Amino acid sequence: MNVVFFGEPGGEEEAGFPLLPDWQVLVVSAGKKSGKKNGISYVPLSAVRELEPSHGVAVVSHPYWMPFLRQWKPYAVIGLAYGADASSDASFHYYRKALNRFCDAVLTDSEEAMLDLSLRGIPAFHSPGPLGLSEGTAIAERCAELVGLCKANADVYDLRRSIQELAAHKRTERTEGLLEAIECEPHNEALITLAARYLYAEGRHSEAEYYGFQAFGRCVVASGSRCLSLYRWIAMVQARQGKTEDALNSFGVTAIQAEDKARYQRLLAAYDQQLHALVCADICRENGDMAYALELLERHPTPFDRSIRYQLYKETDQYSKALDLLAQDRPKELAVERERWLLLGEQEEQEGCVPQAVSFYLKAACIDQEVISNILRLEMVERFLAAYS
Amino acid sequence: MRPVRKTENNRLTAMMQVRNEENRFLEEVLQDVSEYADEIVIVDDASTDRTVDICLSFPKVKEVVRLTERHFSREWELRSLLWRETCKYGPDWVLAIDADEVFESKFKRTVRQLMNQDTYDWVAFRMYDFWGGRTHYREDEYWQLHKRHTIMLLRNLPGFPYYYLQHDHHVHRVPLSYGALPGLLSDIRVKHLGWAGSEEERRRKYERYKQMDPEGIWGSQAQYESILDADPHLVEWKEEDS
Repeated sequence: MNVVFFGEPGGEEEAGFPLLPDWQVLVVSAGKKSGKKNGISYVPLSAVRELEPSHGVAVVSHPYWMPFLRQWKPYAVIGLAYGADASSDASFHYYRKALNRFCDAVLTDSEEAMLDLSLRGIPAFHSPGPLGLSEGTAIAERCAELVGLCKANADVYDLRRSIQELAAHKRTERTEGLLEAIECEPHNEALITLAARYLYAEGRHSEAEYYGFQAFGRCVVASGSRCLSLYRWIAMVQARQGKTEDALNSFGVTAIQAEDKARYQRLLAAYDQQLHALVCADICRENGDMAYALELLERHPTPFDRSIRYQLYKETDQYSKALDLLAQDRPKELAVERERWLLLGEQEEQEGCVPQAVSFYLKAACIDQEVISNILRLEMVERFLAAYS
Repeated sequence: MRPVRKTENNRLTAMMQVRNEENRFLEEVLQDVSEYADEIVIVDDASTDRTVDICLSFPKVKEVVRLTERHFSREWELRSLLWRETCKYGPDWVLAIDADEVFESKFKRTVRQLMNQDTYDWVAFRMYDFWGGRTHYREDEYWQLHKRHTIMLLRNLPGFPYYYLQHDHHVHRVPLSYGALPGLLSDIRVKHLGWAGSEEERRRKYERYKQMDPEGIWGSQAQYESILDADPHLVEWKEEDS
């Protein structure tokens, strides 16, 4: 088996991935450079193409590798989402989200990010410290653990399930640790907030609500308006428990901006029409619990949930379902037509099929020239990959 | 389902805690509040005079909750009780006012405007400590309440948690949690008449403060002592332009 490290420009030297018995470790290097150092092979991208993908585990730190990985199709992909929020580049974030969804596991230095990914059904692990795979670092150890898991599951059909179970086990350990820590520091707002988020991810929703309110109480004394975002999160916890009226009320309290006020009015109208699942789904979607939102909507479909379902399908890469929904709209309308070409383009872009993606984006750009930015995004990714070819 | 915020037909409930207010400002205050509030909820802290009868003589007084045991040294409990008793009637807005406070008349003309909007959830006002009469307020190192705003008017948000600091004295009159919500700092002034009485009355208040907080834990000892200043700095009150 091969572990292939896909880094970022200038970062090849930091990739001192721990050597594993029976594994060949390769690092993709820019400028067609190749060589061997400390047991690690440095190879150009063309050499990776020659490797048997079903024997490869990709460790990826930069999201622009995604189109290549889509086509190479390695046995497993481990993403390294470090300092992801540091970049303000929209293209970077677009690809980061796409890569996260594609990964079998994601390691991140942010517990918040880890919990958000977990809610999206992505097996995620918190591993603090700066990005670097030097032997002995926490990230290298966790990475080696995951690679080991890949090896142990090489003949097992559902690797992702094994990784999910490992991630759930780590979360449970951390949750218990946090609850113990709160006993010693009962007024530590950050600790209580984090425990509430872990409890939610664990499915312990009523406890999550209790700790959410505890955290809010401490937050308002110390930091005033900052804690309204926490209150909106509590709305989701209430929605998750089917407490629709409470959830809508909590959401309403935080609906201060014009856009939120309008959304609140729409949800109130839905509530009055007994569309409780729609209300809860929208609140959960906004706070990142996509899986539950979709589950609710598919269990209780209504004619009014199309825009929410459309968003959810898009955010979870379910392009065919999203396209089906669009087809039910008025197809001759320009806005719908634009959206359809855009969606088809994104689908192809995600698959790494650049010419097809450009073709669809150009059709969308005939209606809305802003779409040209998607083509520029594709070109940027191509330039990134070309540096390694 | 009732929306969290309404831009019309908001009802106002005034809430007030009282104790032995006979022959002070209670009637004047209740008369004034009755002109702009829809109803009034009062908690009586075990008065031994006619305070409750006076309250009940005002038609807008919805309820007087009578405590048989004095809560003056457990003020946060009193404030929490008052909040709960008021909110059980489901008001749209609540005005937290004391039995010795009167808004300047502009408030009556604008209070409906202040409530019938969905941009902010509380309104704060400047409060002036009238001293030895109704022509001057006190302003010096220890008497500067009017230089900051005090939240008195707030939207009732059912389900929104309310917290009071568990202090024995000088507790905020409205729940701290409202600080998380957007609010308005109004230029409307409030006359605090608690010190507007005679020198003898001020001396009795001074002695009460010294008795309840001898170590100055809940308030400033220096401020307590300044109550007896023979020559405090007073500023003439100018009524608003009508």
